[in-house]
Amino acid sequence: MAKVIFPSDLQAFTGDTAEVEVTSVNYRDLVAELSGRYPALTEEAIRKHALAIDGMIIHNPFLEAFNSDSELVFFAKIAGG
Amino acid sequence: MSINIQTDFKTVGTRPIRPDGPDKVTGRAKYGADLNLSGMLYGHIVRSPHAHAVIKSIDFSAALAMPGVVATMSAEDLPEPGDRILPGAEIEMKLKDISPIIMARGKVLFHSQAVAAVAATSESLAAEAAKRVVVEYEVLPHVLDVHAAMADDAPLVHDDVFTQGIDPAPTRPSNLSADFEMAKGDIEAGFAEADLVIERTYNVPMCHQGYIEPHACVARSDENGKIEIWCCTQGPFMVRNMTAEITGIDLGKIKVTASEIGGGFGGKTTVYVEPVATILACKSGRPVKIVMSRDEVFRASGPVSSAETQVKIGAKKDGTLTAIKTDILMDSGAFSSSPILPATMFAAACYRCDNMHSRGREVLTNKPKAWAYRAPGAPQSIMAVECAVNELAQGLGIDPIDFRLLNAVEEGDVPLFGVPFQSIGLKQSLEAAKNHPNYQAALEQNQGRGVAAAFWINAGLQSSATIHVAEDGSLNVLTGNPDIGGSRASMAMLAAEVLGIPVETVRPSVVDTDSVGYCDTTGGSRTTLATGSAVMKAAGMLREELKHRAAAIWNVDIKEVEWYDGMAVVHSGIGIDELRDELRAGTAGRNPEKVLTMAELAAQAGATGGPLTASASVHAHSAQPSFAVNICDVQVDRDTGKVDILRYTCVQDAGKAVHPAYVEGQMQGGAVQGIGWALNEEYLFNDQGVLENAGFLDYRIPVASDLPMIDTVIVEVPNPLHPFGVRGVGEVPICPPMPAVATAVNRAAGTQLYDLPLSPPKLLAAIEGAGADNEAA
Repeated sequence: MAKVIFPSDLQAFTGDTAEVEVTSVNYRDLVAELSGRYPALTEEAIRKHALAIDGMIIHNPFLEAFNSDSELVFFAKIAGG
Repeated sequence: MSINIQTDFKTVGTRPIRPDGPDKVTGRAKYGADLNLSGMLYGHIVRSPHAHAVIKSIDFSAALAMPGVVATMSAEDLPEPGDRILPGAEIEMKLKDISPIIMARGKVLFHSQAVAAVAATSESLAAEAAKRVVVEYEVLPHVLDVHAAMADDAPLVHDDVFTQGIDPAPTRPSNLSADFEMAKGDIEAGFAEADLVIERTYNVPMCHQGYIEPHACVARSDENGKIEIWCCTQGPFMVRNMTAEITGIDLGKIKVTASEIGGGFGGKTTVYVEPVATILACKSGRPVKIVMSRDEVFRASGPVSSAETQVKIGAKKDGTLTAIKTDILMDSGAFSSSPILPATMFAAACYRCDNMHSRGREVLTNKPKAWAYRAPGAPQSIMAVECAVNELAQGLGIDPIDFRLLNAVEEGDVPLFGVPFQSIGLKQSLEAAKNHPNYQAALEQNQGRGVAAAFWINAGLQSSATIHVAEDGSLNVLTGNPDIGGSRASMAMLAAEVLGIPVETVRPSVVDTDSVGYCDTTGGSRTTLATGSAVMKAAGMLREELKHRAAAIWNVDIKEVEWYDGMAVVHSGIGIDELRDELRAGTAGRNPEKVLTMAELAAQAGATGGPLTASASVHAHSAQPSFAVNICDVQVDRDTGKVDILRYTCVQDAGKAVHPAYVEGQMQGGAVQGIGWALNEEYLFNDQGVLENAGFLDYRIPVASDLPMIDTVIVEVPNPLHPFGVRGVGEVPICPPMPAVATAVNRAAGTQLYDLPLSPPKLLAAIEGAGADNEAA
């Protein structure tokens, strides 16, 4: 199963859970699976973050798929200068 | 994930003459203030004389009574922003945090905030009319200091801001707008394991990006409601989007053309005058030009957040880091916007350490709204960690570069922000710095050396490009990213490389928002990577089309056609290797039965399907971080406190350097800006919140005579996600200078002064204080 790592701000919605395994293999299912598992973790809160899939940071991962052994890290969107 | 990375290049890595050079050195280049239209009016903005006040009324009657005054505006002419989120922005931005910067709504929250505007037939008349706009204020108590702003009885900058990031969510509004924490491991156990712990507080002042060209624009509206804006900006599509949202005008009616840009450094990734000129143009029916004065730029355009950072850092005797704790307090000015997240996330990203804790707090004060500056947030927090690392290494008797080599992150390491590093070049950069002659140079009395390392994440985001082939086989490459650091050259070089043609036959252009697909701003060190990827994709599409055209001309299957060295070649009957040998020998070079050049294919375009053109768009996911290492040698005059930079060395992992001279320029420019921030640059407010040094005479940036040649070393560890190995280069160079300079100065002066800038009077007082301490001892 893919491993999801939550940053500190999202851990506030997961009951301090920092890491979780998921069965999803694409972003849309991932959002549904996580918000189903953690009701406080809304889709809106998730979509404020970029997602790093196996080290590749994707600003808007809406259509992204990943492998069942992928490592997924939610990552606060930041602006450059 | 990794891809095959090309390592053998024809054009990439060379140093062709910059395409914009002649226009800039001859003065032909057109900047934001250079456009003039028939019947044009001049706008002037009325600004608040107070740091915090209620706007009770605005009376334009005296101004409008002046002959030649044509239009006025205030926030009444803009839609109420409500709780709308700015669509399409790189990060979540609330319109109510942006619209009041353009025109204050109900209250002013910092001195010189825009309150109203007038348009008149001359600049002087507009300025005079602005003086006759009568604004009645009810002055409110203000707060300028971040600690005072967090007190329970502090004047509230906003009564609807509640601290984000704390649990449970607060029920009272606060000037503490955000409070984030990130952690891994057991921080206290880490400190217990340490043989030496350093704990200090470091201050970096509010400063300005210091771009030479002020914000300037011309806006025109026509009878169909079509708006045209010409302006200096890092992002014409951003200007279109923000102007539409702020004014309520349909985005589709707005066309933005970016002028040449005289510096931005992040400060031109937003709007200040464009919506004002647009409204005045709509109301007057005439073009309106607004050019901010230098004074206005300093007082009312995005300064850079100050930061107070507490660092506690521990290591074992052998130099192994055991714990790093940072606590960053950042002044965002009057609206939430500071880069507190990257400051918090990236402060210690250079180091492998099992136990880390980082807290970041953003505080609102009655100062101008802070805005981005190269690698937003990172320089301030990296300054603190790097100075502490130097002191820790010194305390343990370990060379500062060896200390960093011992603890440096490499591929597979997981930083505090959680995304594992792929192939990175920090260790290679440290080795290059250690081996540089400047690191071996002997130091004399009153001289000191500082070293610092730094990280920046870099961005990808969205970009588009279009390539047209002219009838002679030359190319026009069109993108929508203003060229602030050499991107025209890099776009041309990437197209030339993909197509195997001379770069001199490629003409890169930055075009308006109607003429190319969407591009995010030029910023985030993203343009060569992301817009370059769009160019490469379009060039690749064009190459395939050219092969099809050649196959049609030869009446052979496309599989029989190769693209080689800028030409289509057919290998019917012979192997491609044999054909390449013929091409190298020149025996096949002019045989149109076997070879068709770009010019020959372009000349026959009409007969083979029409004009040759290709457009491509990307949402680049290939961004990877950059690392930099700086070495600074200084000499301190103990009688005056003046600091001279003796030697300055920049080492940077740039990935594959497309145009090395431009990469070196980015490294040198970042170093100079960081040196200025370390030694002199700071915003000085009086107790009424009025900026007292709003000009380059009193706000001192480094000039050429202040500096030696900045030495550069480009380390090229390829980005594993880019087909040429390209990384971003524009932002990380500003991250290491402050700690490198501060450490060098303190070593030279025998001080421990970490309250930047280290200006002569401050340093002299510290030297005298250190001397008095020694005498007392």
